[in-house]
Amino acid sequence: MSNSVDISSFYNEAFKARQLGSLTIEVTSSCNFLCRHCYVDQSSNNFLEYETIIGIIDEARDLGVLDILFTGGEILLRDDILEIVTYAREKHIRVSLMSNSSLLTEDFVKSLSNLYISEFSTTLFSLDNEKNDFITRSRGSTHKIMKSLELLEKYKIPTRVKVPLLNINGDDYSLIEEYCNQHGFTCASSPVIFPRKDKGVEPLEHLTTNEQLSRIITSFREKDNDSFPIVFNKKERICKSLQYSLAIDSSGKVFPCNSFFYEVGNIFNDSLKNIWLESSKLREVQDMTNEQLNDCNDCIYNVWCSFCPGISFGENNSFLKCSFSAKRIAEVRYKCFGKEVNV
Amino acid sequence: MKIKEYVSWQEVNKIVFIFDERNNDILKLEGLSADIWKKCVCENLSEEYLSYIEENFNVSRFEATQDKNDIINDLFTKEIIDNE
Repeated sequence: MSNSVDISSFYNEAFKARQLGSLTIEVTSSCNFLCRHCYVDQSSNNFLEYETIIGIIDEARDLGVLDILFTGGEILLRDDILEIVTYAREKHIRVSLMSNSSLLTEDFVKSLSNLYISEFSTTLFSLDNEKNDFITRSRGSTHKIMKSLELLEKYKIPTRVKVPLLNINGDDYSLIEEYCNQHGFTCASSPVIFPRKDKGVEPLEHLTTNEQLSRIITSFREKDNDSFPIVFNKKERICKSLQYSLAIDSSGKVFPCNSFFYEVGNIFNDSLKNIWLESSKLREVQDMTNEQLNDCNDCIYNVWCSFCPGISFGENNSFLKCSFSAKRIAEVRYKCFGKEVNV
Repeated sequence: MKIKEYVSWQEVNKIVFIFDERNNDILKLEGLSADIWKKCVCENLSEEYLSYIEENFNVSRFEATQDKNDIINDLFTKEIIDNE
């Protein structure tokens, strides 16, 4: 087999063909953690029916979907999650799972190892139990997550440890990264926090301080994990992945992606195919170009900014206005590295 | 036709991408190879694929067989290969 091909070559083709290639399914909004930064409305308790999910998988396969991410809430609160994953794998769809991992059992992980999933993602905020418990509002959360990570390592499940960086744990990612390197896990830390899906801004109260953010951004750059400045091309689409992705939440609402809660359809009213091909709201966001970002066109930070229309929509109820949190990070990048790069 | 359990695949722009999840490897098939894959997987063909390929792609039976074997490698279950 060729080693020269990577997954981006599939998505480059999907982008050209405007083919739905990636789907996120929120199988439940319920969760046994109550993380302070979480974008999910924690008072909701929705579950998609098994038959509904199976129908979505069938339709997704026919539409050209390669990757499905099952997320929550907490996916392991469903008794049938293994059956759902098995069904998707029997359809030869790549499967990723997002879970807080606190409910993993050895039997489950062993079964998962025979299904060859692409990735199991879990969240860890700190190796300090007190901090982790404070953020998750769940006693003993670190211990549970670490036990699960041991199982994932034992059964060789490709694992990504996500580290959302808040003001509480903003300086803890280096230790987690070191732990991940020792155990063969991918570590992904980010200071980006999303407003809640119902537009609640409580998660933003936990944004890192400016000092923490400077240290984080500097550290990312030292590790070559930062590609700024970029070229701000007015003719380019604002977000490439909107051309090949969709997300369905546990109440059936369909969104352009898992971070962009602008409803473009509902699977209980329409087929996935019709939403993908016919939704004028979806087409509107897919066709957006940088030129429409009036606030950004003359902004001195635009080449340092990782603008996301989804975050902007959460913050402003408009996906074309300046995103406060993206601009904040762009300003820090500019202050830290603007002088060393001639922009 | 039953593909091995560790294989993921999808088609886009008439190109077939096959992912070997066990070995973290990717195969990209175009033209004749992509068509053979789809015929084998989607239409459950075993014997008919050879005549289909001969008719549609103007290649010899030998070439077609070789190409298919290259693609199949170990991606299909052993019994299917034996059945050929």
